Amino acid sequence: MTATVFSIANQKGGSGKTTLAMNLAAGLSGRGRTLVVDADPQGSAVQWSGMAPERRPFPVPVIALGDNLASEIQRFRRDYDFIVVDCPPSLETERTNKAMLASDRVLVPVLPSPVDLWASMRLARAIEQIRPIRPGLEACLVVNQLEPRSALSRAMQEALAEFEIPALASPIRRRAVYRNVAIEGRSVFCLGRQGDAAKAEIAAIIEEITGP
Amino acid sequence: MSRIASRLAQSVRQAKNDPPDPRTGRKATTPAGEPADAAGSVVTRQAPTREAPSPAPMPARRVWPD
Ligand SMILES: Nc1ncnc2c1ncn2[C@@H]1O[C@H](COP(=O)(O)OP(=O)(O)OP(=O)(O)O)[C@@H](O)[C@H]1O
Ligand SMILES: [Mg+2]
Repeated sequence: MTATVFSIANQKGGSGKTTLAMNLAAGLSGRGRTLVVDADPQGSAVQWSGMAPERRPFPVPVIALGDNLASEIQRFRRDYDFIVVDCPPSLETERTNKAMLASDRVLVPVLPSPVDLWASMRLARAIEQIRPIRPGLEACLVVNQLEPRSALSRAMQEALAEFEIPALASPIRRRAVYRNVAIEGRSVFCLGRQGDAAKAEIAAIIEEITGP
Repeated sequence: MSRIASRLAQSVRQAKNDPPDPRTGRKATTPAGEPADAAGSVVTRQAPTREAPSPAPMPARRVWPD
């Protein structure tokens, strides 16, 4: 077994890395053995899973890794089908670079806002810079907190076309359930009908990133 | 394309073509395209400033009762 490794990265804070990492991992766990690596010293992913009651743990193990994350991920590849790495909001530490180098695919959540788009350009450039030493590394933008009725959200398409890396066709909408599940240490996949729309959008992302 | 879409796309293009220096965060040109001064700081046109009124003294307030 050798895992497919997804890094969720953007040096811009609050773009939705942890939210995407946790829900993506929960969704992927239906397809194979999945591990979340919390590479962020803030420890949000670890805290998220720690909110789950003992009788109903988060469906995926979450481990925190530090500067040795590249070699550790390499080691874990043998034991899992999917590894999802939640990166810190920084390019200044080596961790994001190490995580991306150890990955098969980088997912970059971006918010539909000018300031977030400008800042995310830096990460897109960093990805281009590591491609020569990590050939075959795939990368894509994932629009998060989309609000279909807002003019800016609708204007995203043209702006995303300016990035060197493509955007996934499936966006994530702004929904209260994404905030609520964190407090209970769950994912949208544990919800009943109120989670259906969110489940469908995470499932669509999984389809896109695991497809042929 | 809507006006907002073309402005947003243009702003991203600008961020792409004129990235800040990764070390200093400084840009080579101003948003309007004028070169930055020798020290790299961007000189922008400023609106004339008016003397700010001095802030009214804050009454001392005890937040916590003794
Ligand atoms: N699609 C969404 N709908 C509603 N709220 C969201 C959504 N995505 C993220 N959020 C909320 O936005 C905030 C930031 O999200 P999150 O913590 O996942 O971002 P992050 O990129 O991991 O932040 P950091 O850079 O600090 O690690 C959180 O309060 C989260 O609950
Ligand atoms: Mg986070």
